[in-house]
Amino acid sequence: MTKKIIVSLVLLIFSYGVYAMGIKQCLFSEMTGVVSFEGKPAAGVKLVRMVDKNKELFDETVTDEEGNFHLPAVYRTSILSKILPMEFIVLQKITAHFNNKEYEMWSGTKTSPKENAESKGKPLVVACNLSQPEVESIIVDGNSIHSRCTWDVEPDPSQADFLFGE
Amino acid sequence: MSSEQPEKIAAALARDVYILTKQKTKKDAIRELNLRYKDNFSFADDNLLTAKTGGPPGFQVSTGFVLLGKKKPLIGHAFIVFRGTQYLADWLTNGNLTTSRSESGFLVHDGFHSAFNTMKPRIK
Repeated sequence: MTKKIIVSLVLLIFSYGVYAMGIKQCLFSEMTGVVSFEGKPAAGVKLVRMVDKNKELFDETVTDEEGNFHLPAVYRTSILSKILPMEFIVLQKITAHFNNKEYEMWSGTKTSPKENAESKGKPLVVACNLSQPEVESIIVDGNSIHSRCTWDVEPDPSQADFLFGE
Repeated sequence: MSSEQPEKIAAALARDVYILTKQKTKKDAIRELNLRYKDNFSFADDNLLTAKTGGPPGFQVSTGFVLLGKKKPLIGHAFIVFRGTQYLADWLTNGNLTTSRSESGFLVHDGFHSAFNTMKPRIK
């Protein structure tokens, strides 16, 4: 019996050690911001967020009376990626539900596990305009982001111009 | 075409293959392609290439694609692009360290050879 307890304790400590060695990966950075429609703050907008690394994860929030919202960062701890390196690639999506319509508010890819990679290290604070007719597409540190939002970030220069000339 | 241009294009495609194969629809993949390469490429097929990597039977993931050049100097060129290790099941392919003979008679890594064989009919 004592032997079994000791073995269990050793296994528990060992498994915690492996867990502690795991790499914390940020799949979607913390996002705060305001949503507007036709120049006015949009209250009660349901924002559904999808994050997909190996499987789709969903969460949601609703804007307050001033159109403000907050989405916490999504993390994942990966033990295996330290032992078996794999390419890090996450699909991000935020769909806004407002006035019985769906709007693509944010679609992007994240290829860095670092926090705030979407804004080159700065806090991700966005202003999103749902009445913008089309999404605007930019590339940030090699990651594409299609959105109806603006935030404090300098997009990468055009890759096509670099490869093929103006 | 400058002497460095093919290498630059190859390097860009090798990086972007992960983002392009991660897209859930053909429409999204085309949007990504046009954002990164403007109007210089089109996908050769309606579906992205898939391969059976190690893992449970029937496990298939988008693994690559064929691009066709649309503008000078790329007209007449096809680009076959494969991604590398992205999922845990890919390590079963990587770990298959035995060798087998390729069509040209050389000994090659059997894991990659088997994965390639599952895509070959689509490439032809």
